[in-house]
Amino acid sequence: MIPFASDAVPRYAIYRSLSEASGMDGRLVERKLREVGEDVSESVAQSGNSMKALSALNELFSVASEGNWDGESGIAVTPQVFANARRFLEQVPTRWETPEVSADPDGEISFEWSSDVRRRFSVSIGSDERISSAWLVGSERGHSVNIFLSEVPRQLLDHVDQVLAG
Amino acid sequence: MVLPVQVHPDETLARFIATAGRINKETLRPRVELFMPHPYFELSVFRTTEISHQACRDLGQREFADKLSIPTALVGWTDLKARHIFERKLTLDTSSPPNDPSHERPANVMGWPAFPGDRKMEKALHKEIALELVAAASTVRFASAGANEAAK
Repeated sequence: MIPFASDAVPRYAIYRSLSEASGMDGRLVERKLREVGEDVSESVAQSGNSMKALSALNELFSVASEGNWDGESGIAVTPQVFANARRFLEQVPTRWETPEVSADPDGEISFEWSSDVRRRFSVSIGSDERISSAWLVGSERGHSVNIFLSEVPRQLLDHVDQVLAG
Repeated sequence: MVLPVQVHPDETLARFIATAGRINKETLRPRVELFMPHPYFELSVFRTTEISHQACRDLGQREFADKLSIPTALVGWTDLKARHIFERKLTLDTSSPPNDPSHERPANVMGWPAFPGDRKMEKALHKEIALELVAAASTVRFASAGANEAAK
């Protein structure tokens, strides 16, 4: 357990507990999603891993939906970015482990999968359909920009499979 | 202590952390976002070779966490050898702010590649570089007393 909590640490410095996120944060997320026309009643059949990631995404959004959320002039995550990130997460294969979910300083949302120090894949989801990603697999590395509309691009699937195969 | 302007490849650099969200909770390594330059093409680090854990913590609190728009408690930092910066074709600028005694041991990682007109491609490339830096960086040293032991 990482000893993150401190009385001296402001709100943005702590990602709050999931139990807390499911209450107040859940309502905030629901309200924000309605703002961009998302169907909040949609029930998504998800694996345990995906549910964990969705909870982390909700939690993140509740913290990072205001500017300067990180104290370093981080740009706010908008409802549209959040909705796109959620849609992406709903499309990832259930066999994958739960990704790390975080907000980028530019207001995009990142998902990261890793199985070792040099086996990592990171993708950033923004407000449009173009998504930036990069990967590191041993001595090989690369980056790309892909279009995400309704399905996770094949190239990204292959890279994450490669990363998690290690 | 007066440091030479030129950074030696074996020098240790600290990238300070004010947000727990920048740490992978499973591996205790920094997340890639910690090494992404934003909003400018530079990344702030500090030259910390041969200073103690406590001195590094005090430096981070004083020179980084206290100077944020909302001063906060330092969460920790990750160490990185300067050679990993140079290996990625990046540079270290130690000239800013020039001769300002109120700033200690700063350096800026510069030379990030640009893709004018395609911010997404630019970000993807920066992400690739940041992944390499994360792989080369240490696990996070926590600022709070005893936190490193508790995290093990």
